Amino acid sequence: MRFPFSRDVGPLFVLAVGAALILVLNVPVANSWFKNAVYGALAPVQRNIWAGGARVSAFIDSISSMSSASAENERLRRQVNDLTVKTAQLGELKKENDFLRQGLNLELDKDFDLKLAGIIGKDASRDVLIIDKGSNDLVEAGMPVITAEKAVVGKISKVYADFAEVALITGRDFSFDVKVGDDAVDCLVKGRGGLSAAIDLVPKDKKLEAGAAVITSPLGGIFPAGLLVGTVGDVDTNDVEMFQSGSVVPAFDFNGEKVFVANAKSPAVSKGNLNPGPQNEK
Amino acid sequence: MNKKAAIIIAILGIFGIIQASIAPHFLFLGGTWLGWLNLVDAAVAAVALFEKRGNRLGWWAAAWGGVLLDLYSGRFFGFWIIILLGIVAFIKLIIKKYVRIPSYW
Repeated sequence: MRFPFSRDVGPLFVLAVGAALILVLNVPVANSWFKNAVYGALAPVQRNIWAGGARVSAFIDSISSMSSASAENERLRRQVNDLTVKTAQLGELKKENDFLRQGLNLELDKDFDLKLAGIIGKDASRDVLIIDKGSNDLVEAGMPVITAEKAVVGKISKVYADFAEVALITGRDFSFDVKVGDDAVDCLVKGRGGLSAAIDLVPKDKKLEAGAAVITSPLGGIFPAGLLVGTVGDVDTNDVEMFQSGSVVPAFDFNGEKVFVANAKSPAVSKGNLNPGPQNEK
Repeated sequence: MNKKAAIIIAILGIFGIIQASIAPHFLFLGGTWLGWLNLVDAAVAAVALFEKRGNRLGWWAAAWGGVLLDLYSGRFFGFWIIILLGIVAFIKLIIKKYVRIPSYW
């Protein structure tokens, strides 16, 4: 018998073996073991390939942006002027904020054990990343994943021994509560797939502006409050609809190579209440 | 036959790794365009389209390509195997029955 590409192999026998293998690989323990072993074998190669892809992508982006460099330069000059004024104002606010932070103990690393994880791959058809930290590193399903800039990436959806899957906030089945703009309007962000997300359920009497910051709210219990989700893109104010909606430009850089898995240090934090503060410690 | 199979196994393996690690940085190749199209799909479809009638390499390519995509998929294991076998079945049993396509291997 010339296996495996011979015509002598009975199609029914091959089908039966294939179906049996697929069934076995759908048993959670076998699936986790198999994927973990393959990811482990390929991770060193993939880590480098991912980093290379990120660099090539950044290089191509920089070339394509050169064509609009002149207009961009003018726009940035105006922005620098605006920001210079704002920086002066923020200097005073920062001092006040630092003082309040010290008092209220709001630093993220005091609420979380942050585990640095490398991205090694992405699901071909869904907004799911694979990272190189797993249950051996005390990573658990449901943990939030953020960037060094404290931008929300997603949450852990599946854990293997040394690897984990991260459901991105742009995934189709992902939705969570957020606050938008200076007025901190409560609304909802829903993933649309294809690395894009939408904002919804914004009351009509509230102002929704393009460029407004979108931050997490503790209401849904998925993410702790105060993490950056992104900014509002296009706004859709349809007279027929009861609420305003729009697109969200996610803050996380998809070409990044590292993320943090945020492991809550206390049950209150894991339920979405960032550092309860001194009054709860009484 | 086995030499061709080895080459296709190697090419699909490389495409699988590229699809999971490099393609996501580029919107079109990242599988976000149409949600389904990716390098492995295209390669398996090409094998099925351009192989001689009666050859079975397309079926094996579909199974191997499916395993590669299932490895990096959050769906149940076998999802992509079924999809790719379906694509190959469509090409071999319907398209090639009615359309004359040149064969290269």
